[in-house]
Amino acid sequence: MTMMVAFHDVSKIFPDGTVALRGVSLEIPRGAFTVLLGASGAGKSTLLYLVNGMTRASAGAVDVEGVRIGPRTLRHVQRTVSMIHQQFQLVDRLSVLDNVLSGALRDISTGRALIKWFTAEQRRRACELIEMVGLGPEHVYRRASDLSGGQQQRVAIARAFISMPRIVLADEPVSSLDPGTSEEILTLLKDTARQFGVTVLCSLHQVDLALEFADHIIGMRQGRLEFEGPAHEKREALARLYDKAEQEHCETLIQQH
Amino acid sequence: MSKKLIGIVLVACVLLAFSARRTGVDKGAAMIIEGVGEATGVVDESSIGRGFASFWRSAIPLVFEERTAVARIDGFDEARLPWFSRIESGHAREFDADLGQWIVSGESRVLVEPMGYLLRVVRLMFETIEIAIWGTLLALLISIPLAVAGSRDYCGHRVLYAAARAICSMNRAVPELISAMWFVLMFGFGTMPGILALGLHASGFLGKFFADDIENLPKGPQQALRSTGANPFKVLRFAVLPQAMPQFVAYTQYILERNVRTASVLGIVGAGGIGMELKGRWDLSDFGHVSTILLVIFVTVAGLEYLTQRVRSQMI
Repeated sequence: MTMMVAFHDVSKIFPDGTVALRGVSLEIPRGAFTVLLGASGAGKSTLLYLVNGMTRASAGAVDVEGVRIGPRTLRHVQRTVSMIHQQFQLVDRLSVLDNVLSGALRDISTGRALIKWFTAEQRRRACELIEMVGLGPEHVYRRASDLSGGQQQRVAIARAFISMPRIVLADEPVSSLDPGTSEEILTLLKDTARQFGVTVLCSLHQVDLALEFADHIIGMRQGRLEFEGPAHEKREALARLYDKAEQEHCETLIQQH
Repeated sequence: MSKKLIGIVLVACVLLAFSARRTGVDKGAAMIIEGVGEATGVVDESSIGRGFASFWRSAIPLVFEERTAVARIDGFDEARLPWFSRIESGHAREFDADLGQWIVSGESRVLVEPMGYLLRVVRLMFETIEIAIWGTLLALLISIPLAVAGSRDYCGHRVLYAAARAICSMNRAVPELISAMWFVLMFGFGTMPGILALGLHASGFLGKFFADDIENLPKGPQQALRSTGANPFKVLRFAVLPQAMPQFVAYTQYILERNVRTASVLGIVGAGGIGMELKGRWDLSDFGHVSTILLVIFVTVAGLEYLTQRVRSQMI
């Protein structure tokens, strides 16, 4: 299996002294749905932000498709990466269509962006994606803030895929949604990614969801890599990620699967 | 209560008493008490009462009509009078410098337009509103770049940030009347100095308000767009402007309203609009005319306030 992203002994220390990552080395397989699993504070988000340049590593290096991320290559790498956020991060007062199109901003000139002049091809693709993520034509011109949480995350998924990325990062995409909607959203994300042949790197803290959706699981704890491997091999290791109180809960979940 | 506080209050009282003597606040207070006494019937007469009566005598009736000596109108054709106007004959007056008073110098015929003066004042009021609108547009034009440069997170350039904030403070610090006087010297009498003075002053306000707004916006959507490789202009267009627009509109409305009020007095230093007429009539002691002007200003400002209130409730 070829590797999409490779982390080489990456550490991240924030200016306030918080250590988010301690010497993490791992590889993300191409075309798979990889889940980053860990309690909050384990360094999952930081790991994701390293891939699209929202933070820079204090030590070590990150390769995306064999290209090392640096000041010169960041723009190039960002063209292949999209992100889905925990709080959706849509622009409330823009329509669903404009929010989706804003994912394609890097593909048009600044002058055209200022007058919202997207190409017909981009608009067609945006509408297709809106339909694909399960929103009807009646939603196209509605404001993002009028939608429910689940619908907003659907818009965010459409926004992530419009720029034709080769890797989609999802930072706790379902943590502010109810369990039923969470399943729907992750199913949608996985299906869409498979359809376009996109690699997904998704952070989660729910063990049950990870087991259900992951092809490949990475376990993290306090900034360290705890385990890594194909999902079906890693069920026993999962319990180690959490405190005693949560372990029993994890074990019952594992047994259920 | 602490001794320190008592000390501060005592010192403040002494200083205020001293200042009251210097500024005449004590005499003013005595006059007000006397006036209240007259109103309640304790005192027969007060200086405020006399002043108010004389003001009332001269301010009323309001003058709505325009009187022009026929002899002063070029190519006057009696067969084709303006609508609703009539000709009155009266005594022509002339100032006799030797006697030091007005004397009747002969018969004269006067064209009277019943609503002529009111119409002129309304026309001047419109000019004033136009000055305010242009001033607001100019302020917007100056303040948007200032706001973008002066918002800490969005701009991120320390020197630009400091410069933009300093320019905003400077523009705010110069009162319109002062800058209008300078602009009158540069451009001559007319509307241009008024527009420039309003625009410059309001741009200081708008620049600061807009910049504070941008700083207070949620950062998530902006970061989300930035992380896809969108440059700052695109982020401004798609994440900053849509989110900040309601506040931008509200502040611009307030500034427009404020500019109309300020433009009404800017004419006093010769910067165009209704203020010039006000100053002229005041200097001529035409208090009836002054009352008309004040009435029009009052109605306009109140109406504008009502209108912006309505527009705002429609938009939100």
